[in-house]
Amino acid sequence: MRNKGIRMLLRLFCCLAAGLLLLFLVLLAVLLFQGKGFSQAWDLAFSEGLLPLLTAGSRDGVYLEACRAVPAALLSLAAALAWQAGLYNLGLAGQYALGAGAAVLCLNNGLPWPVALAFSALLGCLGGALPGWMKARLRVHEALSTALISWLGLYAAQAMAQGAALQENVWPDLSLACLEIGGALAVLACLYVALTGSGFEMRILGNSEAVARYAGIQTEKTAALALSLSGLLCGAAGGLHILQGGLAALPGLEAAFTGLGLQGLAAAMLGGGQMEMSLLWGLLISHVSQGAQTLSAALFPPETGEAALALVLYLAALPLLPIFRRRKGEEEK
Amino acid sequence: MTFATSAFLTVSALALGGLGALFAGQCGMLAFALEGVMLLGGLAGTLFSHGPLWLCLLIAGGVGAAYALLIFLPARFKGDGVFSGAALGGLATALAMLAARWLGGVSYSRRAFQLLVNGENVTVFLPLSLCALLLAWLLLYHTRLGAGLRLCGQDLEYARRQGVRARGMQCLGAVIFGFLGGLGGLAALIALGAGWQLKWGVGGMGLLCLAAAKTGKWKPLPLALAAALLGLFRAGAEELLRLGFGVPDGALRLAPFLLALLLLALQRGRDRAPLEAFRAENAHPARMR
Repeated sequence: MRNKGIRMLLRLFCCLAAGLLLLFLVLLAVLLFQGKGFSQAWDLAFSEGLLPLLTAGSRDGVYLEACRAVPAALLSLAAALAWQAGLYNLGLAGQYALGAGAAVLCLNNGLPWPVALAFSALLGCLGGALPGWMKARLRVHEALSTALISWLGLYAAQAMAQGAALQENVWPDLSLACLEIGGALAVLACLYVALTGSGFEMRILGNSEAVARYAGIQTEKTAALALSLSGLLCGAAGGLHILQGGLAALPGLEAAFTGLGLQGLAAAMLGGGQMEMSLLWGLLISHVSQGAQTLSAALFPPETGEAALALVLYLAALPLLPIFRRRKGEEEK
Repeated sequence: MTFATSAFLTVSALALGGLGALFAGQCGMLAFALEGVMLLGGLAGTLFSHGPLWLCLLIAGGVGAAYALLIFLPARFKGDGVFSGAALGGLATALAMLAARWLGGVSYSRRAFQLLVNGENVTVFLPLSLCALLLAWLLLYHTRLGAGLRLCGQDLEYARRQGVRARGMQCLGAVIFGFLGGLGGLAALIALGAGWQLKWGVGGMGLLCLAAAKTGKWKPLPLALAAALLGLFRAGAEELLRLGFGVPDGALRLAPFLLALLLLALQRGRDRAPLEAFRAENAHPARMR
């Protein structure tokens, strides 16, 4: 299949179908494990599980849903941005937590929210720049250093937020501002990768490091820049989440392997590392995870959604379907 | 828990987990699922902590080994080892929490893992990790099996041409990785104490194990030294936390991760890193689309 657009569409539909099937099977398995009969479990998995998952996300209206989806969308873009340069960013959760912690620290000290947001983005950027610098200068594999940054960021956020006493919603009319800022950041990130020279260099580096070197691109600098920008998006996502949700939005240690970080990685993986597709997947996953909050806890424990998402990411990382396999000769291009 | 007990447990956990990562790395697989393997293995072990010690250790290692077989699939189908490792970490956390919910909580007895030596209580994991280190060194550098495992890590195609059953070796490497990871996870969960919640995994100990393996250049003895340094530092940070100096909890708990980053940064000279071998085979993630 040579047409890239058709290939992308096919990939999208295959992933959607496979993801929904997997989700349904996980829900069914949970109900069967609780001792329900097969036909009853089948009905419940559909009516009390899959249907609310797909529809309940927008129960409060599209506007509120979009506001809640901002952090997930930015994290998906952050993972995809690093991927564009051929890099792994496993520290999404940590950089996001750094941003959230910085926002709490600033707001708790009475600083205005734009300063808090800028500080969040800066700290997230530093969380990405450190592994980027280690990759560029010291040849430390970025997957390991970003994963370490993940835990470091989560503990640092706890330290920054210790003793903080913010109200649940600091400014009641800030959701719209957060949506606008998040949307602008998302569009800017997509345009940066698609239209600027630096973004083009990142894409060349992602396709082949040897070709990038041959073309005279400073690969170390480009890699460090990609990870820094990825961290900046994560930090901004953390800051925006705190501005929307108050202290309750501060991620706990469980965010290292679950929650928004895992969602961002899954979206980037399902989107094939492309910015627009990853954004789309990020929004879809956010929609489903918002729907998951309405499920009956007696029937489906809250961990069911995380297990299903992790399974989707694991299966997406295994190129079992022909559509996910690398085409011969693609690297040479 | 005294500082010595905590330090021995943490060092043993890092050494056992690091050895597991070493075996995975030596046969060309990425061990990013170590956190998940340690959590599930450790959880299974704690569930049987009231039974005989050998059974408890065997179950921790066995469950870890069974879960670790999932890292073999990305290697077999040329999938993405890093993303699948992250996914397996998330899946393990969710499964552990589901299991704890269905079992109505997890309790274990720390006494079951102590040996009486000259009137002193010593954790069983210390001699266990020393034995594992010695056996790993003997297996990797003094047997044909070890040579085959290492050859698979350096060049899979060359190993095949030399008559080595490369996939079988990788499968064996994954099983050893999981077994040692499960034992390390059991030690880690005991070191983390009763107040620890399963949703926090093993608190990043899997990553510290990986950092120790990388700092030790994927060799058993340097790995043991790196694990000892990181383990002592972590136990020291926990002890300071217990004594209470007015420093925020998070600031002390992030110190071992800073040290791990520093050790990685200070590493000099090229190691024959399995990560790089993987990279050469599977190339950049962007090329998979």
